[in-house]
Amino acid sequence: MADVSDNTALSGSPSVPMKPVQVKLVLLGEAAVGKSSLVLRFVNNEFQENKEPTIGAAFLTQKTRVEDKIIKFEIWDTAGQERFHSLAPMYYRNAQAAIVVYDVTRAASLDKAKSWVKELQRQANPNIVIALAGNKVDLVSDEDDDLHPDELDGDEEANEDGDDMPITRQVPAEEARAYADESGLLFFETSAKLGHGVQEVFNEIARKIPIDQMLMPSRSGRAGMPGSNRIDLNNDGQGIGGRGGSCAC
Amino acid sequence: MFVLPLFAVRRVERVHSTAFTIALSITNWHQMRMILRLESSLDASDNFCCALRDQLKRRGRTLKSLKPFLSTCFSEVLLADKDAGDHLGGLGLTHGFPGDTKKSKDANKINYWKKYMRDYGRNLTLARLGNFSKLVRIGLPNRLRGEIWELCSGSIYYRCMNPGVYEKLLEDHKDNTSLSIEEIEKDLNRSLPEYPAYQTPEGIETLRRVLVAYAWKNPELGYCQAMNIVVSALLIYMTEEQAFWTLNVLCDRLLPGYYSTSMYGALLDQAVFEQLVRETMPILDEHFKRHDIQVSVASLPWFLSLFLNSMPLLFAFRVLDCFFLEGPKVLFQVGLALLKVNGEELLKATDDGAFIDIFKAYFLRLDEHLYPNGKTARMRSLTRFHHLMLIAYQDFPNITNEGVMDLRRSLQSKVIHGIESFTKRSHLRNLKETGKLNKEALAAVYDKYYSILFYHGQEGVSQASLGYAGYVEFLGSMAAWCLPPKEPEEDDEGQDEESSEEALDASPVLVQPYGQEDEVKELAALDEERRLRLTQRLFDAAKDEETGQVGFQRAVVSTGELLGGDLLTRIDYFFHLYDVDSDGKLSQAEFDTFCDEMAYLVPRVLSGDSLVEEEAWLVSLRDNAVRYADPPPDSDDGVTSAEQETSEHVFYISLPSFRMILLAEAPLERLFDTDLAASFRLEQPPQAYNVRLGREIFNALWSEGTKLAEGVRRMAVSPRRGSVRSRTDSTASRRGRKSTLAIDTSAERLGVPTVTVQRTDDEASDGASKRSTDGEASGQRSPAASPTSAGSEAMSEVDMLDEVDRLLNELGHGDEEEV
Repeated sequence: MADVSDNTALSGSPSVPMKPVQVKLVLLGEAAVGKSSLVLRFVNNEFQENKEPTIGAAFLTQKTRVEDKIIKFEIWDTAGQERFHSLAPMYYRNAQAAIVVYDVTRAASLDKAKSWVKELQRQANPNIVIALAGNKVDLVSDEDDDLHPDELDGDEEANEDGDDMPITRQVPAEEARAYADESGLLFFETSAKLGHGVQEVFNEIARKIPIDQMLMPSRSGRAGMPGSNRIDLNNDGQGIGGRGGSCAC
Repeated sequence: MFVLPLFAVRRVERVHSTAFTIALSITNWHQMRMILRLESSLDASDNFCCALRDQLKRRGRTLKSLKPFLSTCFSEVLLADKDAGDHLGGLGLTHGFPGDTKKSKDANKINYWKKYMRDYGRNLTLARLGNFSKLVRIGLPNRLRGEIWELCSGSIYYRCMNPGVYEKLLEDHKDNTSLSIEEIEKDLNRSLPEYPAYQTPEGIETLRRVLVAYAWKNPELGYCQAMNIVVSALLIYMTEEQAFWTLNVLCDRLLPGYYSTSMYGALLDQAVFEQLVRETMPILDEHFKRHDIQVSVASLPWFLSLFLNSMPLLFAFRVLDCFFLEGPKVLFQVGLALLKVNGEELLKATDDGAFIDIFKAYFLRLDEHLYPNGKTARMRSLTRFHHLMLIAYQDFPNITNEGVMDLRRSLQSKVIHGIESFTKRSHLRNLKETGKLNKEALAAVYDKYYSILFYHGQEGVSQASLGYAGYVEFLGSMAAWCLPPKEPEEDDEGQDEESSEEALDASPVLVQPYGQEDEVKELAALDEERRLRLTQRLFDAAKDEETGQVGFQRAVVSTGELLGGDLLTRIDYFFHLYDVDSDGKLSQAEFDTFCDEMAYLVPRVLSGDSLVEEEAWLVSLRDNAVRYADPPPDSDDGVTSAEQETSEHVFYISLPSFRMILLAEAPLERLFDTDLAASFRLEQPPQAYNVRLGREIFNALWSEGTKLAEGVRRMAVSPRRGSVRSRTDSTASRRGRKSTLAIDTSAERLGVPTVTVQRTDDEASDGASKRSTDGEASGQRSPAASPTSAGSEAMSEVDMLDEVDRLLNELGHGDEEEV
């Protein structure tokens, strides 16, 4: 259902069919920051006001073209609630890219994003490309020139908190950008609702992925040795974290 | 087998019996009479009768009090053929039920149930006999679904026994808030949003109340995503109160640990499921291993949200019907069937993504007809969903609730260990400072800290940090000198806090009241007082100023000061410990306190060392202090000269002097150089380590598991236990004559003393007819007795077509002929 054929996803498909490069991408972030909505925008160019919370994880694919290559994103969209945290390694293992999402109207969601970044940098694939995305800028978009006011009707309703408080930005873009630079992350502010910045995140990730290296040792770079990095819930010492090793540090 | 609550019993009479047996005639609330023949020894039968009599006398509720409860049961309205009762049900009444009621033959089904309930009782008195199971499996009619769900799950008894509890929970907490409440708010608009009721404020409010009430009922669990989906589904068919108690049964008994903060139950069942896949479909399992495919990426959401966000709702509700009827094994059977039905496709999948996509596509085609050109009308009407359920029951008849329990038991230690080591890694990873400790030490400190936290948390509300008593226990678990001497076991740890405060208030005179008669006792009291002051000091230095508690981060840093670092950093730390006013120097009083507490610490840390004779080093320490003390501060330090003159002994010790003074004393040098750190024992005997980490969770799991197993036994088909029990002889020839009878112990725990009865058809006094005999026979046959061999990996199509006709019957096709 989610899989889109080459033609629909690509403008002007190449005359010589190319084999798409598969890139596994995982979305992480606090509950209700808009992870699923970002994916839905990217894959189907849709927006649903009240998207059901993701249970466990959802899986979608989308192809995109970067320069002369086709990249097929295999997107794992994870559950945000804290208690699902221990399941995350199941989804970010072997991922070559990650989008860590926070909500610009909730400062606490950036803290959670930082802790995800930390976890990815220590536990995930060492070459993982991480993008930080501050979502829901449409809620605070009066400061944003790119958006037309008439697009913003009904924005207030989209506030997940559902209270009557005026929605204010809690995370200044500069602050998040500074953190992203310091941690070596790509950084974007996005609006899944308006489609603002979404395509850019994925494109930029696609550009940053070392595709040539991945292609060199044929496919083995992707999945690794069969079973080698498998998470075994039953295996002592490995725990449910993706990788072996006894300590976090 | 079914449950008859004692309070629904109207009359019990002894009826004619042979010399060797006793028979009882029981009349229930709905004026139905049933005969119990006790087939055990006369003694046992007598005992049973006495127990029954006593229980009946003591039963909590009277028949009269049943009336208001029964007025909340739709079945009463239905049988009275009234048009009333429009309020008895869920949101579906006003917002419509999913699916097409004509297609699902709702009206026919209602008629079936009416007849069934006339014959076999309703709500509290319903006997699960005849074709009860079949009627559930063909799909429940919308109006009765909620009530049958609560009946099958047993939640109806909780609701009956706890009137008003739901409303009271909401009332008591109407002004409170918590993390769970905030989390619920985030998800209210995202729970079955496509269902019309959840686009209205009333629908949302209904959902909010049930989730919020449960979060207060069970604050430790609170709220877990997926509960919103399950509850919003329940509420289509159930009233708020029905949904609330059913959620209780789900969380406590049917899905133990699924929604807990660690979600260990859900992870455990994934491990169980993977094990079952390995056992039943080795070829698929082998394929998954080869391609590094993890089954749980697809199956976890099935279990967590009971297929509600995987299958189209209509079909998910059919699975739920079976799940409430037969227990958790149904989830496993359906899960296995999903793998099997899609087996060929799955063998082509080479990664998680392709794997998950196969199911996504399959779920969308569940309503397709499998044999559109089949020979018979029945065959043509067979949908993929029917086929799936057919495979679930037919090919996996050996999956039982007991078997699932056994697997849970055998896998739980590994799963829990996995969760714990994961939690530990992420806690350690998220430390901002590692406080001079290396990896091994950090890991050990983590174990100590969280095991203490766990035991302290047990007493009250769950905690995230330690108070004084807990912190001392934490330090004491590494360094014995933090704890009081073992011998005089007058206090338990819990009292430390108060006693320390008292001791501090009373401090200098505390020794007095003990008098001189008992010098040993006096010394012990003095030492204890020093210990309390020292540990309080360590706690104060470690605690967070705002909360007054020690979180893990602070525990790490403060432990690191004592145990990590080197001679000089430890001396510096002590300097700051005693520099109470933080003026960068120790006053004489501060230094005296230091000396006094060292008199406690030194002999304990350097124990067995003859050098440590209290007097000698302490005296020289004081002498040196006077010698190396800095001159009284100048006036520019803000201390007036008048103050200097108040005592000629006033002196101040700066940090460099402090270092010099300490290093001059061999025992102190050794203390700070090596022995203080060495007094901390980080390693634990291996088995103690395991026991500590896992035991409590193990126990919780065991008891939850046991409860579940019993609950399931009560609720489902086969009676296994009971204090009095007739001989069970399952040969078919005797089936018609046998009755089984047992006191239901689990129901007693609920406060509902009950008798469970298996009534035989030929003795059924009133409504039982020939028809029900047929029904029972078919009920017995399926699913467990279906003739397929368990080992057969794939059934040939011919075989399957042969089976189709027979089994279609049980899966809800061919109802029209019977009506």
